[in-house]
Amino acid sequence: MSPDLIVGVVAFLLTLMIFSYLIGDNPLFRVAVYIFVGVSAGYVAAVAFQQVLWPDLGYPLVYGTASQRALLAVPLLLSGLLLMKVWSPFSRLGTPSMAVLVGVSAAVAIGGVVTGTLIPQIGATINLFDLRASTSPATTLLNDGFILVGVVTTLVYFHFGARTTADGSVRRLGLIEWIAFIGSIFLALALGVLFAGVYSAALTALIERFHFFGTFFGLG
Amino acid sequence: MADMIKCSVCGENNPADNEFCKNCQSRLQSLSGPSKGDNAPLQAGQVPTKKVTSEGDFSETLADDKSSAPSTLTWMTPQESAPEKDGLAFWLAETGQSPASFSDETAAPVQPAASTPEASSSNADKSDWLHDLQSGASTFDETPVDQTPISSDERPDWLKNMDAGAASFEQKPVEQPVSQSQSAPASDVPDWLRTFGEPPAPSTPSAPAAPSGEMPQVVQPLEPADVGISPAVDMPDWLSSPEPDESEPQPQESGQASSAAPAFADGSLSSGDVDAIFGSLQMPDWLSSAAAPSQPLASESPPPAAQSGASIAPADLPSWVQAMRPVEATLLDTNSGESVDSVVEMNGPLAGLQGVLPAMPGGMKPSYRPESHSIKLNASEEQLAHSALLEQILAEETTPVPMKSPSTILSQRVLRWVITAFLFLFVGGIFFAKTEIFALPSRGQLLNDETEATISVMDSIPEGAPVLVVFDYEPSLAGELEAVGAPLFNRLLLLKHPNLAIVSTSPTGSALAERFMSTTLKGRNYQRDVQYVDLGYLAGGLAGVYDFAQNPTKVMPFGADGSAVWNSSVLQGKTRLAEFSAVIVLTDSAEAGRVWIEQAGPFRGNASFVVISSAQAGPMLMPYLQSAQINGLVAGLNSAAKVEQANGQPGLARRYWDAYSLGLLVAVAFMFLGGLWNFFLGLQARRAQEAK
Amino acid sequence: MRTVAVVLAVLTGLIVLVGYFVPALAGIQTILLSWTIILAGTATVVGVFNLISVHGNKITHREKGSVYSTLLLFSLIATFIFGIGLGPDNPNMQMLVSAIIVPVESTLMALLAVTLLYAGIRLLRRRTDLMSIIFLLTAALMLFASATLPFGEISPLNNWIRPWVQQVLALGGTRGILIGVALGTLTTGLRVLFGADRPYGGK
Repeated sequence: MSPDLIVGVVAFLLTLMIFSYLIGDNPLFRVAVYIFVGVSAGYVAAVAFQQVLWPDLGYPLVYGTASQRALLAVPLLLSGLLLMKVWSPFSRLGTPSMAVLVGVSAAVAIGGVVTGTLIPQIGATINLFDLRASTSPATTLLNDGFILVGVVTTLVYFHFGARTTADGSVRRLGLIEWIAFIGSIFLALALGVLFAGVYSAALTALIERFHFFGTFFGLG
Repeated sequence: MADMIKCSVCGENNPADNEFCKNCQSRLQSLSGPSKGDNAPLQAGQVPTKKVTSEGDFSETLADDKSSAPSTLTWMTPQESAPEKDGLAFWLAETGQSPASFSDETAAPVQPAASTPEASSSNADKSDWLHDLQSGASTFDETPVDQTPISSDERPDWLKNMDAGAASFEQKPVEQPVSQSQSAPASDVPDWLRTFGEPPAPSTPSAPAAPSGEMPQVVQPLEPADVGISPAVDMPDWLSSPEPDESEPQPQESGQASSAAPAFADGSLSSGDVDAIFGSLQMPDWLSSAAAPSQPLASESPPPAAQSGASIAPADLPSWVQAMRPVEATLLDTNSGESVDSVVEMNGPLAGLQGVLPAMPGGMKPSYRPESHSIKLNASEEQLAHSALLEQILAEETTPVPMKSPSTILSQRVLRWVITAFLFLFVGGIFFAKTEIFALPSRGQLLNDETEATISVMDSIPEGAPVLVVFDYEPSLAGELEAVGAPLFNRLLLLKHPNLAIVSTSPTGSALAERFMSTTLKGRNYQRDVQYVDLGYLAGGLAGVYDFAQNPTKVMPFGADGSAVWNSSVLQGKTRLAEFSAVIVLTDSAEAGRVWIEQAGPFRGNASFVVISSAQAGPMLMPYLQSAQINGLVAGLNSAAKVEQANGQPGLARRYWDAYSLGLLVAVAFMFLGGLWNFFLGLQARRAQEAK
Repeated sequence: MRTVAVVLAVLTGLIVLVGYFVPALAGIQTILLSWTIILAGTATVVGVFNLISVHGNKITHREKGSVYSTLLLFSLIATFIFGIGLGPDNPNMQMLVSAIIVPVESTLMALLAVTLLYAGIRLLRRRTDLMSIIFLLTAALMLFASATLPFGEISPLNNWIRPWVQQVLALGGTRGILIGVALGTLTTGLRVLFGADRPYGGK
């Protein structure tokens, strides 16, 4: 029995067991899901150990020089503390390690969004009205106007500052409400496009499964 | 100060002839005759003295009837000093008998005591007092010395009963008025009763003066020194400084009082009988010891009974009685404005009595009724509204949610089955039919078509140049990404033969990359470590990407298999991101694409940045293409089909296209028809709900 | 311990952030980033240990579904042992991925097609307002415009309306979402650096 055949049989059975969910929840589906979770978790743990912990911690600690080992003191300590998270009586010891993770990630995220999204995207919205390179200025202006209105009104839609009115209800300013209404239309448009994309991706995955069945049974 | 009477209420000295105090108008003298002189009630510090009556000796009477004599009467007679425990036990044992045991079967009914109006009125008062006392007789026996002198007008019933009791008892009023001015035939009243009417010792200012006629005699305050306590405590006179009356026979037998008339029967005992009873009874030790300390006070104003030689021997107060005294808390408070003993209690069951301990230390007026507090919550309207809202929320939590009816669930399941059947039938059917009837989307219609821009970027990569390829998608969309990425990679590998460096921020990325290279791009025959290297898993998320973009050789010095890749022929000594000709990111999520664009974008230099994404991530990555942060974007099977057309070589996109198009059309039909149907159903349901 | 955590988070974050602008701090920044990569790998292992702990408790207490937990733990331990012994790059591990992980995840994604279609059909029954109608109409339009017909594509639809909706109308909305997400990320990151938010468990 060739390995490919074994792989094919196992994959086919698991695919059928997952498809059985269309009929209703059943033990076959649960068995397939639990096996998948176990294998995924084991694989991820093996990859993390083989490609992160051993090369960055274990190998230098065993085969590295004294200076390399000295540099490993802090990450070794932090990693050890983080492992304490598994046992609830000592889980508090892992807080400093989590704090380092969160602090560094937050700083990197700030730097990335400012230099990688905020400034370029705002600049791009402004530069839309640079008509020097446009072959059809009117069309460009119209399109870019739509884009600008869409960006601004969508951002206003997420403005939630409100005040209490005379009748006791809490509402946004009238102008803000109108702008937010237009923003909700653009938002609905964008979400509709996204929904179409998600369905397209799922449909492609379904077709790929049919392709697998065809390959497995020699149907092409 | 001759012939002066000190008012027991306010302490004012009044002439002896005055009936009422000139200061506080309280009665100074008792109304009845027997309360004066020898028959005067015992004052604080006075020793009760035995009174010799003409009717006979109570002890003789008791001695005649030994068999039925109750043992309880022995506590009334003075006794020898004895250990407190023995005396206590003896007293307690004797008090165990019921009052009925005092009755004498042969006793004649007790005649009313006095014939004079004063006496009658005093008898009436006495009866009230005695009646009150009778109701609390049991507590009287057990409570400590917190008693005020008895009014001369009040007389316990048991004393009256004794007066009208057995024939062996002298028929005379037993109750001794408190006032000193009243006198009674000394021969009719026992000495210890006689001393009730004598004034208390003046050396203790806190001790109340001779009580007025309203107060019962037995609750007159006792001299503090009589029992060795602080002055503020009220002690009954009969507990204070009783000198042992040697003339009184000590009752030796417990049955001596059995022949006595019932103590609580009206008219059952005469005063002489009372004398006989009290004279023959043996005083318990605690009475005799209590009397001893009061001797110095008693010596200052010796009661008439004491003068006659009939007095009760002082007894030591047993420890348990001393412990029950509420003495120090009130006695030590010298800040009170007025003497506790001089204060007449105005409220409560002890109204009219003197020397009642205050409820609060410091002589404050006790409050018998707790202050009433409003239980209404002082809340504002806003708070009430919030609380009502909270109640509503909580009520909704407990409100059962109506379950969907089986028919509703069945209809939903049926709809789902119908959809499944249509998709499997149409999409699967046309796929397995291997048809190619649906036309591929045309390319090149728009100038800013993103696919065309990507093809141009790919064509601009130099031959044999190193290209960094990032596999950042999950196995769930491996099929779509392989179908979307295959045409572009086929074009790139076929035309430019680049050297690839593969990296992934997903643990399964390396495996998916290997699957892509060995299965999807099988025709290109790219070999590992020959045409491409696998750098492995890059942990840390965006922090790892940022670090890798800055120092790729430092962050990932080795390949996934541990080999030195940076100096290999594949990467040709490249050490920075900008030294790559292109960076191609395959991703199924906008988030992963955004991370690489934000973190690695600033470090790519002149390297082309191309993103191959799933159809679900394409719309969110389009702004980055429009802002020129990425040079090319291929999103979904639609773009892949255009690339395949540019390649001129059919691939997976063509294979999938018919099923893909039919699946999209089936979805549109379902959404349109089903949406209309459910729209009208929803309107109908809402109208029905509004009508309700 | 909580104060130490807050100090660590703020200090490391500030060093990394200032390192964007001050080249002198680039070295420390790199060290901190390398530590973060190691800690992220450790966190992955901690997550797997937690999974083992949860399902181990289920088996120990014989809870409902403990049979499935047994299956999960068995497959997890076996895969881990094989992965450590053979290495993730081993062809046999590749087979494991191709035989189990890819088919199951792909099939689960394929099920999503049915669910999404069902949700799209039932949307107007649950919620009938302008936003729902625009959403559904846009989705249907984009799906219809992405497909072609047997006799050819509908050119205006495929080549004009679909690109215009995607690159103009939807672009405004998606750009607004991206900027909004970026502002939110910026705010959250600053709150962490100021110590106002402590998602790591500090007081």
